[in-house]
Amino acid sequence: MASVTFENVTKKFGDVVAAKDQDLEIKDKEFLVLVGPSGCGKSTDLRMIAGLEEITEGKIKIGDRVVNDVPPKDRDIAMVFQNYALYPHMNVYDNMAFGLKLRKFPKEDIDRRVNDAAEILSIEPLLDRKPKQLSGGQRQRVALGRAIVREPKVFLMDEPLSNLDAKLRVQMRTELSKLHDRLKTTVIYVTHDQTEAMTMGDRIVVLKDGFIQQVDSPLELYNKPNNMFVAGFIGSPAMNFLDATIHKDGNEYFAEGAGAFNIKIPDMFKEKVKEYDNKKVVFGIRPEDLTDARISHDLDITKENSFEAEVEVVEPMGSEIYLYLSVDEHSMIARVDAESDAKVGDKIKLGVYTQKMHIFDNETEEAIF
Amino acid sequence: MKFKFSEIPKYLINLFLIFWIGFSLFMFFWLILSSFKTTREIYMGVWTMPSNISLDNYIRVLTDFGLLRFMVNSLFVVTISTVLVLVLSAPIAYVLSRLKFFGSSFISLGFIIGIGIPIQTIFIPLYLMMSGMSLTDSYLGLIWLYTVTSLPFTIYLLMGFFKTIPSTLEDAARIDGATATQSFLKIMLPMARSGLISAGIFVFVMLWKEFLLALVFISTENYKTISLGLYSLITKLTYTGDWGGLFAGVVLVILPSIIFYSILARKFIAGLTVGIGKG
Repeated sequence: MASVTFENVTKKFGDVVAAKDQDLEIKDKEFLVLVGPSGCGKSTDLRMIAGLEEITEGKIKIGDRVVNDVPPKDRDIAMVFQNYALYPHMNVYDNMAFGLKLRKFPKEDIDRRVNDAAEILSIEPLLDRKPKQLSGGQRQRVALGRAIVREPKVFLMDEPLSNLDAKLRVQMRTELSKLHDRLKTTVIYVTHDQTEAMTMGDRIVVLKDGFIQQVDSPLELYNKPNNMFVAGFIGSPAMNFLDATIHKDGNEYFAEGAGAFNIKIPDMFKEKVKEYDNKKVVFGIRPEDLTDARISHDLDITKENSFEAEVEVVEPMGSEIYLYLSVDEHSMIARVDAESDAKVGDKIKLGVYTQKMHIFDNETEEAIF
Repeated sequence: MKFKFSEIPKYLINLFLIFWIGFSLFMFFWLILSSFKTTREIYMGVWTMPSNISLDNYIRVLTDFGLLRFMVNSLFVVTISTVLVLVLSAPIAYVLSRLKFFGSSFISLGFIIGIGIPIQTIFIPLYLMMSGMSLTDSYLGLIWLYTVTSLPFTIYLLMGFFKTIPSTLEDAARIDGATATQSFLKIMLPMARSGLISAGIFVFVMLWKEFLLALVFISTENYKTISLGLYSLITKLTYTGDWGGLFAGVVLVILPSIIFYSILARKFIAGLTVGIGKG
C-alpha cells in the first residue's frame, strides 16, 4: 500500500503537451479516478506512474520513493489494460503466474496466490483455458487476477470496463468497488465515462488538454464545479449553459438572458456577483434543477425564478421525462417529473431551483459560484 | 439470380482461375502418371495407364544418377539456411517494427530495396567477395548466400507480423517484470508463430528450388543441390531418351515442397494475410 504523488509533472510528446505542471496527492488506499475526454492526458498520467512513459519534467513518487528512473518492474505496481493484454498463447493460470515466475517466486507460493485470486474473482474453473476461449467479462477478471496475484502497492486501471457491454459494465463496476474494499490498495482508475467516475471514485480528477481542472469528491465536483468544463463534463444530461448579463435592480441582482429570461440571484450568492454588475456571464443550471412550473410541488413559481421555453422533443424515461427545449435560439434540457404532460410545440414555464444555479465568468469560464 | 454486367470481370477472373487450376492439375497428374511409365508407354499416349506400378524410374534416378546425394545436399543446406534465416530475421524484424531509433527507417528501407534487387545483377561482386573469403564451392558458402539473400523478404514479412501484435502486451510484460529479451522470447515470438511458420515454408520452398546461385557457386559434383542435379539429369536423360526417369526426377524435386506446404498450408495462408484485416 502506498500513496502516489505528482510534483509539477509535465509530459511532452514533441510539441504536444500531454500533461502540464500537474500536482496531485493520491492517498494510500484511495480509489482515485482520472476522467476526461479523449486526448486529455489521463492515460498518459497512468502510463507515467507505471513507468511506461518517461516524465519530461517534475517528480512522481510512490510512497516516499521518487520513481522517475525506476523501471516498471521495480515500481511495485500492477496494471489492467483496456484490451486486457492477456498473453494469448498462455492459459489463464500461466497468464496470472507469468509475473511471479519472472520474479522467481517458489512454485507453492505461485500456486497459492493464483488460486486465491481465482477464488476471489470466481474464475477457478477457467484456469486451464486460453484467453480466446473466454468471454469479455471473463477476460476482464483474468486481467484483474493477473494484477491481484502480484499484491502490488498500487493498482493502475486503464479504462478496464470500456470493452464490456452495458449490463456487464454495471456489474463489474460494483465488483471492482467491492474488490477495492477487500484488498484495501491504492487504485488509480482511468475512464472517460463520468458515470463510472462518479460511482466508483473516492475522489475524481478531471483533466482537459493535460491540465488538472479539479480534484474533488464526486459530490463536490457535481455540486461545486470549478469551471464550465467540469460543470459540463460531470453529470448526464450535461449542465445547461445560457449567456446572460448580471444587472442590479434595487438591492437585488439578476441574471438576464435571451427572451424573457431574468432570474434573481439568491441572497447567498449576492456578494460574489457584485463585481459583475452589467457584465456578461454564463448562467448554468443542471437539467434536474429545472421543473415544469405547472406541476411544481415544492417551488413557488414567480417571475424571478422561472422562464418560458418551447418544447422541441419529449423523451419519457419512465420515472421522469427529459424535455429538450429552446429558449430563443439556445437549447436546454430539463429533467422533469413524469407527471408533466408537456408536448412537442408547447410553450411551457420552467421553474428554476435558484439555490442550485451556477454563474461562470464569461471570459475565464471559471465558476463565480 | 439476376445477371449483372458489372460482375463480368469477376466471372472472367473466375473462368481464368478455373482454367488455370484445371491446367495445373492436368500437368501434375500427367507428371505423376508418367513417372511410373516406361519411355515406350509415355510415347503410346497421354492417358495410357502404366502396365504395372513400379518404382524402377525412381530407384534409377536416385541411385544410378545420384539424385539421392543431391537431395541430401539440398536438405542439409536448405534446412540450415532456413533455420538461420528465421533466427536472424525474427529479432531484426521485431526491433525494426517496434523501436524508432536513428537510422531505423533507413535500415527498413534497405531491406525492402534488397527484395527488389535481381540476384543476377550482383553475381560478379558476389563471386569476388565469396572467392576472397574462400567460400565458393562449399556448403558453408551456399548456406551463407542462401541466408543473406532470403533475409530481406523474411524480415519484411515478419515486420508486418510484429506490427499487428498490440504493444500493450509488451507493456503488460514489462510491468510483469520481463526484460526486453524475455518479452521478445516469451511473448512476442510465440505470438508470431504462424508468421514464423509462413516465413519458414516460404524460405524453404524458395531455396529448395533455387538454381542460379547453386549453378554459379557450386561446381564440385559432391556439393550439388537437387536443382543442379535435376539440370544434369535433364542433360543426361534427354540424350538417353529416358523420359520416365526424368519425370520421376522432377517428382522427387517438387515432392518435398508439396508435402511441406500441404501440412502447413493453413498456417502459411494465415501468415501471409496478416495485416489485411482486423487482427
